[in-house]
Amino acid sequence: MAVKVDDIVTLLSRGISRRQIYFDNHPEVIAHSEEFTAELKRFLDEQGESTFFLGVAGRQLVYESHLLLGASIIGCRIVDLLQELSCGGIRLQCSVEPWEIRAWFGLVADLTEPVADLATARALLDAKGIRNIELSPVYDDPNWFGQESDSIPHKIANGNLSDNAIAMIPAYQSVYGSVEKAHTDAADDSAVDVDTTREMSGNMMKSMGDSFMDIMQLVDYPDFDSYTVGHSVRVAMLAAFIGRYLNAPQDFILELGAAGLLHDIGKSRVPDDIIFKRGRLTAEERHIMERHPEDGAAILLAGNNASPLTISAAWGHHLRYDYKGYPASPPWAIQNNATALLHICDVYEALTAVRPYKKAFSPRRAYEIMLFDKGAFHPVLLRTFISALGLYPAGSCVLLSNGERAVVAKAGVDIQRPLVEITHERDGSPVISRRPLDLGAAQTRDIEVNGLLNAEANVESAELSSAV
Amino acid sequence: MQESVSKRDVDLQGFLQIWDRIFSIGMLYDHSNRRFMDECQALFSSWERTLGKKTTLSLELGREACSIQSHRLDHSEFKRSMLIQIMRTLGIARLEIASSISLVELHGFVNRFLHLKNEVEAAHSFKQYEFRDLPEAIIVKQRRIEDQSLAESQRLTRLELVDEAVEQVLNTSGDDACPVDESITDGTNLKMLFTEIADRYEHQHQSGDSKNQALDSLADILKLGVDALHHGFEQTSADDEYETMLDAALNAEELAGSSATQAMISDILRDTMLNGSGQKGVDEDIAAVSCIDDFEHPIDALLHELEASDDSLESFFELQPEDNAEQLSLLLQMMFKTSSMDEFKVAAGEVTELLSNALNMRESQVLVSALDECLDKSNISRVDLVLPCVLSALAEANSRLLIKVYQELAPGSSEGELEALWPYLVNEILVDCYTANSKSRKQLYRLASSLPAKGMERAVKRLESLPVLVDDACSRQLLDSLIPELGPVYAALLTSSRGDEFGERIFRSLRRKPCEGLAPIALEVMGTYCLKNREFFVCALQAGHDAEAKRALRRKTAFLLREAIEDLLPRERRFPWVSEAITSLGGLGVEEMSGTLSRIRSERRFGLFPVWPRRCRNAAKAGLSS
Repeated sequence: MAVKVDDIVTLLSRGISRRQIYFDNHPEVIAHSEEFTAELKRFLDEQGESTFFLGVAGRQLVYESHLLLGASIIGCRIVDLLQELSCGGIRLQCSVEPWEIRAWFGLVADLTEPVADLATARALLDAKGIRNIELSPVYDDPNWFGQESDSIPHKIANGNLSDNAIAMIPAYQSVYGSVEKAHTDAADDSAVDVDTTREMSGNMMKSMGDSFMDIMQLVDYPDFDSYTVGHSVRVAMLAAFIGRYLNAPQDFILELGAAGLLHDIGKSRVPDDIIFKRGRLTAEERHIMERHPEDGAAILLAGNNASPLTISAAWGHHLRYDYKGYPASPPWAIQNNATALLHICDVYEALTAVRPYKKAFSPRRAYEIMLFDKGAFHPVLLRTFISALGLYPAGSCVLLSNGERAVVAKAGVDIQRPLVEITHERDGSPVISRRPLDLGAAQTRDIEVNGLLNAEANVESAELSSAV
Repeated sequence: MQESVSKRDVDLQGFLQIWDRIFSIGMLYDHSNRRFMDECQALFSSWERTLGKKTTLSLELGREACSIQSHRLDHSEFKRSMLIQIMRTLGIARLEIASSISLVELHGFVNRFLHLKNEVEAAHSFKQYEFRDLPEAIIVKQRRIEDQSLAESQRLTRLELVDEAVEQVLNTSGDDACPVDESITDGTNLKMLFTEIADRYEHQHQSGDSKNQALDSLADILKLGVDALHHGFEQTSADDEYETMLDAALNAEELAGSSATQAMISDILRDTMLNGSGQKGVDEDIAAVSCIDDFEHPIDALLHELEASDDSLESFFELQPEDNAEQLSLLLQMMFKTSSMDEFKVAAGEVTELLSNALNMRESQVLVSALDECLDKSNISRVDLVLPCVLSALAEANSRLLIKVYQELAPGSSEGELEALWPYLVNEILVDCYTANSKSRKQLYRLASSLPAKGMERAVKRLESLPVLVDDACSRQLLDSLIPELGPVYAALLTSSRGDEFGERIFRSLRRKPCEGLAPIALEVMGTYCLKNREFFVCALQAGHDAEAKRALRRKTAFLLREAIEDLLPRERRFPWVSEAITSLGGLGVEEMSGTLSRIRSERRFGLFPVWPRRCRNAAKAGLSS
């Protein structure tokens, strides 16, 4: 499978996290540095390039003037670090050695305060003998890597995201960062800061406002973090959405969100080679993996500030409605509906998210799998979930039967006929401003949704415009 | 020769790499951007160098190979090329791009085809595109799709294919459509097809369309016809009849259009026909589609499942009941399962806190069921971890649930479960039983006493760590006034570490109020409790519940009394209690005592003088006769 930019960013971000847990010569750090270097070289080879440049513009990561949405979220720590290093980007040569990568991880792990300026940051690299990693000036410097200013695209291609969605990226990064930190702390046997995670969840809910579509665009973007942290964020958003759909009070939605964010905290105790294994797990590996709900609940209990719902979600999110699943449950075990809801959100996200080892199922296929697995899910909750999301969940990019392309704003009463906003005309050209269209209305009965589109299918060419 | 071939490959590879740059840059910049223009300039330079001046780029993609300008290349070298990727994804078998393509057209091509590629890759079901409105300089031939789900018998014959093509072509002409006579099998339909094609071309050419535009239209039409013909020819390449008909059609006088048009069509058709036998292109990559949908159920089935019930979740309140049953449930499970003492303590602390409040019915049920399971598993070490925590929490909270727990758990228990529960039950009974009414209290007494003696013997060891023994917290009331139903429990207490203390208290209580079967004189004889007499008291306390113990008590009493009597000095025989003791001895009915009684009755010094006082002799006589 071709290496993608997001993969490189994911590896880079994971390396930074890993170095913060382990010391420099730890086998995990050494192995990861080697893996990163190899993947980077493979990526550059596939691209026919000799350097990899990752820029920062605001809170966004940029590659070849293209906004890396998913990577900006997984790589929020990279964004933070580059800003602390007072630079606008990092350039890696194809000849970079694993020890240089490790040294850079060590450098950033040891940073206790922001560096005064770029020259100082560069001196830090020089002091470590790092030659194949360079730091660039900030993005809006016309002498950025010596290129002529009119050669630099001034607008970053934003894909099909609304301005509101893009504005929510920093909040989303904070949520992501807090969950990532929680997992890192748990792996390190440090106390998990549930309060901060809850606070971040609250900020996200406030930013979300009434526009779940914007959240789901961020939530639904494929290719970014196929793994635990991103999964947890998406589960949280889904659960919160259902809570809103059911007109739950804000504080309960907050708790649902926090519970979703931390439901997989127990996986911080599962070795990475099991978490990321692409083949079938052995019986022993499965046993280890199936301990994570109990471990997660224990971690949260030890912290003293997790709510009962958060603990229950960690414990019971793999429990089926018929009490099969894991952990093995006695007949007297209780699973409240909120936990059952998180179970549904967890499975739905796992089915519909991109993973390196499986394709993403469409929502319809996911519903099919879930509806026909009798006994697995709370039947009423599952029907509620599907009705709330619809066949084309909010934020999905769809192709209409009349050739237009749209983003789903909201599920309709008929799950096949959502409310959409037209984003592209039939000839593929983007609209000047989005047009709402209710496919459930009588006058639109002749228009149907033909299928889902990958969000990247809506990436447009950058146009020259004012600088970011 | 080999060198020049390799160099050719290298040149073509370089050429394709430049195309990759065009795609990278073209999606980011406008066509008038200098950087894009620079890259296009590099492309055209390479174009001229590699392909030749004013040469149309012709790419063909087959199953295993691709070709540029009919130069066959191996996929492994070029699979990364964006052009090749686009062709493969979009099902393009042949792509032709004129060297005269403008920057605008090139920019449009890049963006449009990239967009379509993304769309196809993102689609969850099979997609194929019809390429319309392409720039003049670009011609696309798509890959043929075969639906392998068609049974062999359903495959169209070659003539049917041609007829179909003709019908399609003719039907596109709207009101001017000519009907296809399906009964005609002599190639007449072929003539009609070619005539129509020629007409179309002439019409467009004369109406002012450029040659290219006319060719485009022709290409569309020919695509239908030629594909069918090609397919038909492929299948019937050995069929002389078909070939004869084709020749006849091509040479027909009725073929309309100018001679130039006829010649062109003939050339195209002949090229198509020859393609199978002459110049060999790349192997056609026919996409086999056996299933274009990855759903197992139709949408109606899905909707049916959704509408299967009218149940709905009305509000969030249903999401989270207002109790702690779930929390209690998982905490208890943690306590039962964890191997970490730290985790156990944390969970136990949480449980204690939950139990400090009154529990509702659901929570109570969870607790009782959980404890029942804990006992059922007979893991004594786990029981001894869990029960003290839970029960002390309930006790501290003055919970009415505490007795309920015992009342629920004990009755249906097996011997093993009762033994596991026994220490806690006894502790609770002896420390404080104030919450129970008389009836329920007695029930618990009986339950506690029902454990067989051997089980009690084992269970007493576990009682040692509980407050009744550790803190000497046994209720004075229960010791000062012995409860008959607790006899066996008292007996068990005598074997504990505080057995002597309990023994003293029990002795005094029995003296005040002897239990059934216990001769008060026996206690007078003992004078006090001592370890030597423990067995006697155990029997005494168990006698009310156990027939064997009753018999044993009589015997022990008899032997005790006999020993005391026989140890008397002569002058002590006149003590009042002695005759009472002899009377009791007789009343116990123990066979071995008859000799003693006889002796007391008959013994005389020097054969004349009775050794025992009259009262004693009379008591012995009465005893012998009873």
